[in-house]
Amino acid sequence: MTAFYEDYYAQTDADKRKKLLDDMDFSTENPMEGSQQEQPAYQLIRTLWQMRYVDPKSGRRVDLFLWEILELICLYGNARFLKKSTQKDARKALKALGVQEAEKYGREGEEILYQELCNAVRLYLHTCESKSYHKRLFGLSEMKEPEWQKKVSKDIWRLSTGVPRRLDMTREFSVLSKAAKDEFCRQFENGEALLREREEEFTHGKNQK
Amino acid sequence: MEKIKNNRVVRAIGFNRIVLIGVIILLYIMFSVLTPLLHAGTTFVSYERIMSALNYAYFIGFMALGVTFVIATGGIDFSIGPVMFASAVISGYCLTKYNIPLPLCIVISLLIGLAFGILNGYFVAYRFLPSFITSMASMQIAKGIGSVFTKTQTVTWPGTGNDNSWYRYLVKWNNIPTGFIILCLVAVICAIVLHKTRAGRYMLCIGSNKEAVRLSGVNTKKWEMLAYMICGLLAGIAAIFYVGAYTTVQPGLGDTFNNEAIAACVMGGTSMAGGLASILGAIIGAIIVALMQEGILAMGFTISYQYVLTGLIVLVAVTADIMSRKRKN
Repeated sequence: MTAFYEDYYAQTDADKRKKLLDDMDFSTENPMEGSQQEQPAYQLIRTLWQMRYVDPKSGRRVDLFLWEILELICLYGNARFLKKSTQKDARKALKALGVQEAEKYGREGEEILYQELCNAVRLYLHTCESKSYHKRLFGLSEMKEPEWQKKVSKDIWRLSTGVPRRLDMTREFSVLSKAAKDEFCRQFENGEALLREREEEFTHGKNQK
Repeated sequence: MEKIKNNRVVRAIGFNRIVLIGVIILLYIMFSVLTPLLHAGTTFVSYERIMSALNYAYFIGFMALGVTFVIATGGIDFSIGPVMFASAVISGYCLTKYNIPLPLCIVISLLIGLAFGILNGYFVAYRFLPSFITSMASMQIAKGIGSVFTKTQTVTWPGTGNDNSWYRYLVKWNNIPTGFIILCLVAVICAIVLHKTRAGRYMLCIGSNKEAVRLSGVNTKKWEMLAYMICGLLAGIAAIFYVGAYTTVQPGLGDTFNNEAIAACVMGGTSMAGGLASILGAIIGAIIVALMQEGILAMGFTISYQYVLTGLIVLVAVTADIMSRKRKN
C-alpha cells in the first residue's frame, strides 16, 4: 500500500483529498500497489471523488456518499410497508454510491470502492459525535455514552444488515455492509459486541421501527 | 410474546400499532360498560357518541400530524393549540364583525397558522433558539394576539341554517363523517411527503443526524423551517375543523390541546429524539385521546378531570417511550 493510498483514505476533507489526488503522479505509480501505472484504478478513484463531492445538477461541493448513507439508514423504516419502491430507492442510492461504477473495474474496483465507503462511514461516525446527535426528549436533554453508542450501532446495523435483509438485497449491499461493519469496529473497541446486541434485538422482535 | 412479535403480519403492521388498535377496542369496551354504571341513564354505545369523539379527533389529529413533522426533525412545538385558537378566533372575528367572505376567512385561518409556523421555524432554524423556548414564546404571542384582536370577546362562527355555515360540511355532511375522510386524505398526503419525498427524507434525517445532513450539502435550515411551517399550516386547518365541530371559540385558550396532540403523536410511535415518525400512529393516537375525552364526559365527570387525564396521557406516553428505549438499550 502506497503512502498516497494511506493518506488519501485517511483524509475526510474533500479539498485535501482533491489536492492529494491532483498532486499524485499516476503516470509512474499505481495507487493500489505502488507498481507501474495502471490507468483504470486511477480513473475509478477520480470518478468516485467526482461522484461523491460534486453535485451533478448544480456543480456545488457536497458529500453525496454521506447523504446516501443517511438515506439508506432512513429507508429501514419504509422498507416494511413499501418494499418494492424502497428497493428502487435503495438501488438508486447504491448507484449514487458508485457500486455500478466499481463493478466495471472488477476485483480492484471493489477494493477501491470498499476503501471509499469506509472513508464515508468514518465521516458519518465523526458526525455522530456532534451535539445534535446526542439530543433526546425534543432536544431538552442529552444522551449519555452507552445510550449514544447504542444509537450509533443501531444506525450502522441498519445500514449494514437491517436494510439489505429487509429488502432482500444482501448481494447488492455486500461492499457497503462490509465497509460499514469494518469501519465501525475500527472506531469502536466494542463494535462487534454492539452489532451483535442489535442483531439479537432484531431476532427478539425489537429494533423493528 | 416473541413469537407474536416475529409474526410476519405483526412485523408488517408494526407491533406498536397493533397494541394501539387494541387500546382503542379496550377503551371502547371499558367506557361502554362503565358509563351506564357511573352515569345512570347514559349510554356510550351510540352513533352520536362516535361522531362526538370523532369531532374531537379531527382537530387533535390535524395538530398531531403537524407536530409529527416538527418532532421528526428533533424539535417540539408547544404553540400549536393556542395557534389553532388564534387562527379560529381571528378568522371568525373577520367573518362575523367585518363580514369578510367565508372562503377568505378560511384562507386567513390557514395563513395565521402558517405565519406562526414561519415565526417558530425562523427562530429555531436560522437563529438557533431551542424549539422549546421558541414555541413557548409563540404560544404566549398566539394567546395574546387572539385576545387583542377580538378584545377578549368570544367568537361564534355561523351555526347550521346560516348561509355561511357550509364550512360545517367539512366535518359532517348528511351524517357522513366527512371530517374523518378529509383527515385520512391529509394523513396520506403527510405520509407521502414524509416518507416518499426528498423534503420528508431531509426532515427525518435532520432529526436523526443533523450534522451529517449539513455536511452532505443539504440546507438544513430551510428544511427544518419547512417542518415548522407545515405544523403551523396544519394548526390553521385544525382551527377550521374545531369551529366546524363546536362553532364557538374563546381567545387566550388552547394550551391544553398541545399536550393532547403531542401525546397522540408520541403514543403513535414518533420518537421524541427525532428521526423516526409515524403518521398512521399519530392518527391512531388522536383517536385514543378523543375516545378518552368522550368517555370521561360520558361517565359524567367534569372538564377538570379531562385536564387530569390529559396530563396522565402525556406522562404515560412519554414514560412508555423512555422505557421502551431503555429496554432496547
